[in-house]
Amino acid sequence: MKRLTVNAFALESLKKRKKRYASLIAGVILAMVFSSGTLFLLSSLFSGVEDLTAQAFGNENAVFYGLTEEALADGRARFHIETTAQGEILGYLMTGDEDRGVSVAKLTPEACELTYTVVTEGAYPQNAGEIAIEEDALIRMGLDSRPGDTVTLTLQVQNGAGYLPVTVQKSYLLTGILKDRRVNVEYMRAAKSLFPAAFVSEKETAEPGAKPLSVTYVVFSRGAGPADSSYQFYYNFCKAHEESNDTCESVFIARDSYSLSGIGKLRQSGVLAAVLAGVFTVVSCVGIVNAFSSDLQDRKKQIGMLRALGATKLQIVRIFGREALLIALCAAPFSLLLSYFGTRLAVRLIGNGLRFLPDYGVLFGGVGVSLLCVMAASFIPLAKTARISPMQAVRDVDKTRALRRRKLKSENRFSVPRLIAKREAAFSPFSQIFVCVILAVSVALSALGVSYIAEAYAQALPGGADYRIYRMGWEADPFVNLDVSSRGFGLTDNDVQTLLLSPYTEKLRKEQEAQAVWITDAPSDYLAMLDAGRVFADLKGAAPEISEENWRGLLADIDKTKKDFLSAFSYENAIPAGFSAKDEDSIRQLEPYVTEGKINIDKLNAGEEVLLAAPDAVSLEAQLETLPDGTRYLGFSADTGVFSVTDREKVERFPLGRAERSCHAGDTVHLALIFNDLHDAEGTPADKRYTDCRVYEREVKIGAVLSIPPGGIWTRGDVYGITQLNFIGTHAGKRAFGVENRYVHVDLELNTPCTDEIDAQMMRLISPMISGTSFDCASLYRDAEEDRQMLAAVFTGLMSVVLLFFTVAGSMICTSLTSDIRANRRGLGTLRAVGASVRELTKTYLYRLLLPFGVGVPAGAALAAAVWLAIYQFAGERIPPLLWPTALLTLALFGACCLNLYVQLKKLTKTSIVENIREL
Amino acid sequence: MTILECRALTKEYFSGENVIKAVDDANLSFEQGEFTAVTGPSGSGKSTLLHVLSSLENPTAGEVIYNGESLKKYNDNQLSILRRRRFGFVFQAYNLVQELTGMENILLPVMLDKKTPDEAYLNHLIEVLGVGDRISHLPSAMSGGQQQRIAIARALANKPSILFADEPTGNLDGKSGREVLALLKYVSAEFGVTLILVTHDLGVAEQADRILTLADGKVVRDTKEAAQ
Ligand SMILES: Nc1ncnc2c1ncn2[C@@H]1O[C@H](COP(=O)(O)OP(=O)(O)OP(=O)(O)O)[C@@H](O)[C@H]1O
Ligand SMILES: [Mg+2]
Repeated sequence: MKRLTVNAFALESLKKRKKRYASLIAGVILAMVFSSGTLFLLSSLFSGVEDLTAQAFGNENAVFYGLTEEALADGRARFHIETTAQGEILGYLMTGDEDRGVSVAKLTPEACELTYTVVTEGAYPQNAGEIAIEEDALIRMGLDSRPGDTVTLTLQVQNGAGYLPVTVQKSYLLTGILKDRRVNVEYMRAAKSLFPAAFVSEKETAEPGAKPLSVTYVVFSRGAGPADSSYQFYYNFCKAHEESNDTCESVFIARDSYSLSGIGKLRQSGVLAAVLAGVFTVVSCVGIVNAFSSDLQDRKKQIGMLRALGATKLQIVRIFGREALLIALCAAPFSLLLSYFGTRLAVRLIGNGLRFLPDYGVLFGGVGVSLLCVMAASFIPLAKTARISPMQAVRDVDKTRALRRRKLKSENRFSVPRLIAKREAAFSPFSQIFVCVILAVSVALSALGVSYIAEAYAQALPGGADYRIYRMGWEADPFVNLDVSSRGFGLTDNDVQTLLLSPYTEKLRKEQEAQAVWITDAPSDYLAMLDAGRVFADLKGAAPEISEENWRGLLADIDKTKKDFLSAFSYENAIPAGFSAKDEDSIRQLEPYVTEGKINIDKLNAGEEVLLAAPDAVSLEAQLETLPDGTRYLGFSADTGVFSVTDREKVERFPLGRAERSCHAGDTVHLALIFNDLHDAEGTPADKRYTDCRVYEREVKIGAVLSIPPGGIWTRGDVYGITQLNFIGTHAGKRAFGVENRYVHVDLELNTPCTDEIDAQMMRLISPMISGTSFDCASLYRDAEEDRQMLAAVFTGLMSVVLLFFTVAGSMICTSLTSDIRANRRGLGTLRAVGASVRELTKTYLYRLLLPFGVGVPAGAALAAAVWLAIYQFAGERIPPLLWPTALLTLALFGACCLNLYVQLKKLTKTSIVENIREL
Repeated sequence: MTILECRALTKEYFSGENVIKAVDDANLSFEQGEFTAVTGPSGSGKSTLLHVLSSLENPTAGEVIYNGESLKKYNDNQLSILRRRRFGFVFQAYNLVQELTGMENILLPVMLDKKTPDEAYLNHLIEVLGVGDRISHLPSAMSGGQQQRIAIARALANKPSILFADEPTGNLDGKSGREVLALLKYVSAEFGVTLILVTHDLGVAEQADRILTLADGKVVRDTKEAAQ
């Protein structure tokens, strides 16, 4: 006779109860997929989005010109430089206008990769005499060439950091048109920039006498610490190599700063991933416990018989533990495959260039952990079952026990289905509660998630302006922040007219800016404090004593630039301020910010009045910062910080005082608008910038005061200014000062929903106006498209999680009902024998379904409402609820459960009653 | 008046290759109020005959006629109503619903029929059966005999016209067995219940109006036919 081993018994048992195990294994697979699959999906989505970001915004963090080998080596060693690629700038190509050319570079293929240009037409050059140029650059140079054309350009030959005095006429075969993928990343690209936008092949030879300038594309690591950032490394690196002339110029491209609808943040928060992993693991463990529990319930008699026949507790645990192991091992490969292909499918469904970048560590690790969970989870009900005495198991005393505990009373009148459902539910409260909880969580998660994503999706639609043409941060002297620019700087009336004439233009808002000074002999504390906020100084190790008494004197000593600036106009004392001229419509929109006086458009137009935007109060503090190299900076911060602090611990703070706003509606102010056409802000050293200025003075009345909330209202494009003190007037009002200048901020709204086609046309219209200047155009359509892509990814991720929750809830409900029906075959047969029709049996189980749905779903709704309210309370965000997808999912789940019920009961009633009630 | 008939009734079971004829071509008729005892050796098909007659199992061939109507025409719902109103069944293995207390089990057919229970009648039943003290317990907390008594009470609760009883006294001691039998006979006489009872106990069989003897699925002796 065959020796009966534990393994043989377990295997035999598995074989005999194939169907039973199929559903158990399915449950385990589901639980495994639930935990490991979700993590795998999330990790894949994260790396996919990361990859997408790199595709969209390029890889490099910084571009250095003339960087020496030593500096680069130092960067690698000390400043977290990860990847580099090099090329040579051969010169500067142009057609006529020197401000509208491009730098041309010879790049290695690695460098090409890092520049993150893409070929939109044609190909990169392969041979000498060939060239590929960015589309923007072609437009800038006024060329309408296509690949295959020959372009003839003037080349200023690079000679180190400068150019040879003689230019060369060059003819190139245009092989490709390129697109810079980082168009959405803000970075400074001044006129006649070194930034290469035309590329020749590696075979290209340099001109005689030329000395090419190296260009180095550099990726800084993100760093590991919480305060680390690529920018920090870049900043430190530049600082370290500032004095030795190791590098002549650089551009930092802040890819990190581009916010991708929060998913970037999501990615960085490992906490969230850990929490998710924990939640999923717990949920799936409970699911597994539940699956095994209902199985063992079913098999209690078998266990009782085994015990009666003399099996020890240990043997029982071993037999069933072995079974659990076999089940887990059967389930593991399926879970792996299901997670893998499920995620692949999800990524494919999201599409939009999202690549499937699996992290197998997460996949296998997740499945491994859930394997352990299966073992641990299966042990819990097993231990419980092995504890009971043999006869108890045979007689199924669990029910008696539950009854005794609940002090059950016999009912004299009852509805059979309802009573039986009630009793059955009472016998397995744990699984009932669990099903309710998981259903509630699913409902809440789905309701909230869908609402939030729908709202975010709606907000990603271009709102307000479709195109925003703006100045990319002024290059004013960063220590004083006086922005004296040329009157001829910006978009002309002609440009505005061209934009207005486009068939797609609905509305256009335009704005002019000027550096103003408020001429006053005795500035109030309030004005002095506000003004002080601009100032900080390099103290080179000196440590001044700062107090409430001496700060004014100290400030006067430090603030030499301002005094030089003012003396040029023979002003004794004046407070720098911003002046912006706006359209009448835009002015009317400022109404909500008015705290004093009234907006009177007529008086504004006449130049009699201006508006003043200023904070209600100011508090001043001095900040003393010490850098690691011993350099000390003293800065003043009025109300909000004005400079970034690199190392917070090294900053000492000195509160100096506080003042309420001293200027009011009705006050008359003496204003001067200051321009400098000869040496405008760009590329001009600070000392030259304040000579040869033109001044337009006028006495005006403050018509109304606008209160600027902390943080400003700048970001909305409502108020633009350069200090915290801003005068606002209409265009006509500004003309009363006697000055004609250009528009530095234009918002454009389309009259139709934007499409790729229209976007391309609009960009063709706008590009020539701004290329070669430090103006940029943000296409909200493109931004929104990208946002929506990201949201689609987040949405799919969320929906898969929600679907998983629903599936688990559904499978748990179905598993427990199915196993109940199976375990209760005899009872059901008896009921039928006594005269219950199939309809009554169905009703019994429908009541069973009512419990999780009747309790779980409302509980989920309540949970969602509570979270919604909490978010509204604490974050003030009021998201319009979008509930139908959740309702639909819940209904679908209910339908699926009913269907399963129907199938199970049909199966049961097909076999004869006697068959069912026969002793098992 | 004939209340139940069967014609050429056959029930076959298939176990692998073999065909077991558990009931083989039975042609019987039962009169209203008649007390029939079914006997025969173990495995002769007594239980199966009862199951087929009471519509718990579909016959392989032949038909069962209740009150002149063939049960073949009945759908599941009609059969259920027939079972709960007209038939009572006492199983060899009691078959109580585990979730319900003794009293609830007894009330089951009445409740399924959504009727108001006849309390006096039920109390009388309970008293006679002697299960009063265990009535509010679950079946798993009862002895075999107690469960059997509850099963009998349940079968009689709705005052059926036919009571099928598969060895209802098998688990009772001699005295209780006699009491239960007396009760069955009393009810049968009082309410005109037709009683079809399987028993090994010849003493019990002798009290019947008619004795059917089965062997290998066949009716080998019928005292009624013999009398005619
Ligand atoms: N579901 C089934 N499948 C196969 N054979 C069956 C089935 N049910 C009963 N049988 C067989 O049919 C025959 C009659 O069985 P039945 O239970 O009717 O006998 P019985 O006369 O009631 O016996 P006992 O006095 O022991 O209760 C037996 O040989 C039994 O093995
Ligand atoms: Mg029998």
